[in-house]
Amino acid sequence: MAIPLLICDDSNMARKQVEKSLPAGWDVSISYATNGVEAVEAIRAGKAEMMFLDLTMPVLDGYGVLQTIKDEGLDSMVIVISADIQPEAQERVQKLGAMDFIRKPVSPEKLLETLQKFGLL
Amino acid sequence: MTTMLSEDQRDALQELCNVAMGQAGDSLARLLNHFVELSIPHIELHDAQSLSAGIAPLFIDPPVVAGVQNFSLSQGVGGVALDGQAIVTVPTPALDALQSLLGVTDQRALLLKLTSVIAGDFLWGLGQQLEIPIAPDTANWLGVIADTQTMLANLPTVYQSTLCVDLNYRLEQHNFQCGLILLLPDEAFVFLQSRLQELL
Repeated sequence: MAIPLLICDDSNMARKQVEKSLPAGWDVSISYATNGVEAVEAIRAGKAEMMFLDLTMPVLDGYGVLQTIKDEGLDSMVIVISADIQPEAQERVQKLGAMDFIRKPVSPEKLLETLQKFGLL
Repeated sequence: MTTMLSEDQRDALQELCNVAMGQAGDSLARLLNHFVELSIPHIELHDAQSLSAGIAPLFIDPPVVAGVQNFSLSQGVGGVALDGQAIVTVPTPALDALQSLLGVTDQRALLLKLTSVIAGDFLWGLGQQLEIPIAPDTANWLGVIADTQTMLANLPTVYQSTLCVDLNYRLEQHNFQCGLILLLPDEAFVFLQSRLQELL
């Protein structure tokens, strides 16, 4: 059964880069969000069992999404894909419950490595 | 007009600037030993006619101190190297606050350091993503900028194409804002545009 996957980023190019980097043959059903509010809505609608999440977004940023997931006990496996690579950013997202952090620009290799690391493939 | 980008190219450039800003932000965080909040960089393109008016808002109020990072970019094997300049602007109150935070007395040295870190990393990040080798050169002090026309008139070249990136880094409890103005000769901008197109 296809895993509901959400790609959340305000940049069209970044969303395309994530999609192009997904492993071939991975059984997912993809949705998109352009900001944190849309991401939270998607989780509630059951479309984000898995999420690739950007940090720098308008309206509600990635940190805000992770905090909401934590506060409300929502269900979503989040992998952050971000340009915010400072050491403390990675610590913060992990404390907020993100599974992992991928540094932008994303690549098929980086994505595959992360998914395999968590036994998701 | 060579400063016109398609919507897709603009979206792509925005994302590349986002990544480059993240790299500069990382260096800034390490330099200041402080968490740095990133904003979404606001980018604007200007030609020679609209430049002075276009960048004026970055300089109005409060007064701004600026440094310039000279650089050259190469158009690949056998291609001519082109020179550009990156101006980093910091509002005076923000620079004063940083000075206190770091406990340094030499404001000029601090501004030059910020210029080379922010502009240098940003250019490196941009160049890496576009596969355009960009080599930083000297960083120079421009001082307090009274008006943009005088500043532009004192630069060695009249730039036809300019990319202005309004970066807004924030340190918690301290507002640190800076602007970055990338001045490129027309040929360099055309080359950058062609590379952007290849990424789409």
